[in-house]
Amino acid sequence: MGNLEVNIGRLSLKNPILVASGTFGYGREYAPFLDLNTLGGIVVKGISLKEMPGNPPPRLVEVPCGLINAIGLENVGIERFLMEKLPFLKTLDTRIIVNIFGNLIDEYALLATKLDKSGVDALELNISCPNIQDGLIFGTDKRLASEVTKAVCNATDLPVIVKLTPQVTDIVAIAEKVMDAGADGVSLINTFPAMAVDANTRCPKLSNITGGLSGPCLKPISLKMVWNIVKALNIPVIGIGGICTAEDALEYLIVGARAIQIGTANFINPKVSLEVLEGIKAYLKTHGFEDINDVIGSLIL
Amino acid sequence: MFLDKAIITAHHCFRNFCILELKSDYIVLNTKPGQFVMIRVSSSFDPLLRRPFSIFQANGDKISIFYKIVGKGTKIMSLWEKGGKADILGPLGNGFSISTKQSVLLIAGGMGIAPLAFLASTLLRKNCNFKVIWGIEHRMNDQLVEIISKIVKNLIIYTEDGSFGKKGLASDGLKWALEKEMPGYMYACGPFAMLKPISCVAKDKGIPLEVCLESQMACGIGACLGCAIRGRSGLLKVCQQGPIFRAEDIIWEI
Repeated sequence: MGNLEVNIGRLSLKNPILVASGTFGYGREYAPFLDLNTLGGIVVKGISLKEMPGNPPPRLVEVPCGLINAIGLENVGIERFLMEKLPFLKTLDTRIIVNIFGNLIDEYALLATKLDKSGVDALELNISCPNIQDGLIFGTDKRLASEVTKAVCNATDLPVIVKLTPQVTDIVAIAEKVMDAGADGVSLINTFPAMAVDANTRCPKLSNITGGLSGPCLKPISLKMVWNIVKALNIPVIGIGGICTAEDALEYLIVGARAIQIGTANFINPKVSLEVLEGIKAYLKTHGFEDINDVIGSLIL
Repeated sequence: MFLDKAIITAHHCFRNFCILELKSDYIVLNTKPGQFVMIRVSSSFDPLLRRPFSIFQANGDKISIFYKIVGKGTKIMSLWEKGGKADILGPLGNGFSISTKQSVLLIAGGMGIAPLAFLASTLLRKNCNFKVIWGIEHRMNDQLVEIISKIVKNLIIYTEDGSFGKKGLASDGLKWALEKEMPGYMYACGPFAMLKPISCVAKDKGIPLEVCLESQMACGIGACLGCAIRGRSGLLKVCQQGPIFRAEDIIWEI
């Protein structure tokens, strides 16, 4: 079998298949369905300093080939994560990447400090949240995105991946800034802001009015953003958005993503990550590749 | 819980109502009333998510679900034929606790009969003294009513327009049943607007009540956190902490 190992800056993965934050719980939820050790890594549900209850229901609405969610970042908070969730994750032979978020740069830095020596393998920064100080979303402002990345990198020796929001005019510029600030790589895209309305009641279908769109409908948009970043900056990118099959994952790898995250598809088929991995192995064999890194960025123009 | 491609052993639709029977030894052996399965409607991604369905019956090596055609997903399902396969995930959720009280009342509204039918079969096997009130909008296909009456013993049907059985809502059935005999335990499943007044009656009379709730859900296994509802202790996950709840644990005021 060919080599599947890839590197995202200082983070090495035994294969390029990761599962996306918020779609895989804290790992244990999926243990009945697949051997979690086969994955390249698990990106756990976003963690904040304090436990968060999330938004009131309804929190989900299905749209053609997509899902809009407004969970509201419900999570157990860093202390309970370290005590209740991490011990199980540490028994696994796979990379544990903890997604963190906050509403102040100091909150991100404090989370990074608390996770620094906890035994996790890397951090992923969700910067699609508003900064309390000026109301700007970290990920839509070059200066803020850079500052939050710098603060986290100063607070920890762990590899840092910055998860980018697609709601920007120039995603390449944001990617460049966070890399300059010390990130090991970027992951994209986070969900796309969206809404749905019930025409009969004239009410929004989500209690939060708006939410984040995920699922297969995002793939072409995300793929193009990944390609733009790789082409312009040649940096480590993790592709996220609508991956349901090995072919979907391969599209991202071919345009230059070094790894991918599977999100919404985990809800539909709990074994999908394993099936995507098997499909990629079969592809390498069929197409005579000995190393996945030869597929990465092999787009023929 | 288990992921399976189950063979469709029977599938009958009566206008908008269908009973789908699937072969799954595993689920029959491991399930109890009130639990549900998630069924994948399409092998492509539109519709995207699995659909949750209460287990209606579990006998021998087969389970069945009773569903109403309401949207794109159930419309596609209604075309499935015997001999085909269905991608199912289950059994999921907590299930009812089985009361050993002498007099038990089950109250169903519309499709809420599905989980209570399974419960009624179990209570029957335990020689429990129970009654089932089923409130529906209007007269259903005679053949379907006959099938359900065979499965659900001690069934009393109420129709809103009086076109079949007694005239009135499920809550009228509850009033009638309470006048006859005070139950020691109650179970209910149906629309939120129906469950709310029943929960008030249960509280007033001091009768324990378990309700089966539904919610939009993506995964069914506690990962998406989409199915949260308001409980007295905070938000509750319908898929994992439910779908069966003690009525007093739910916040009924919207």
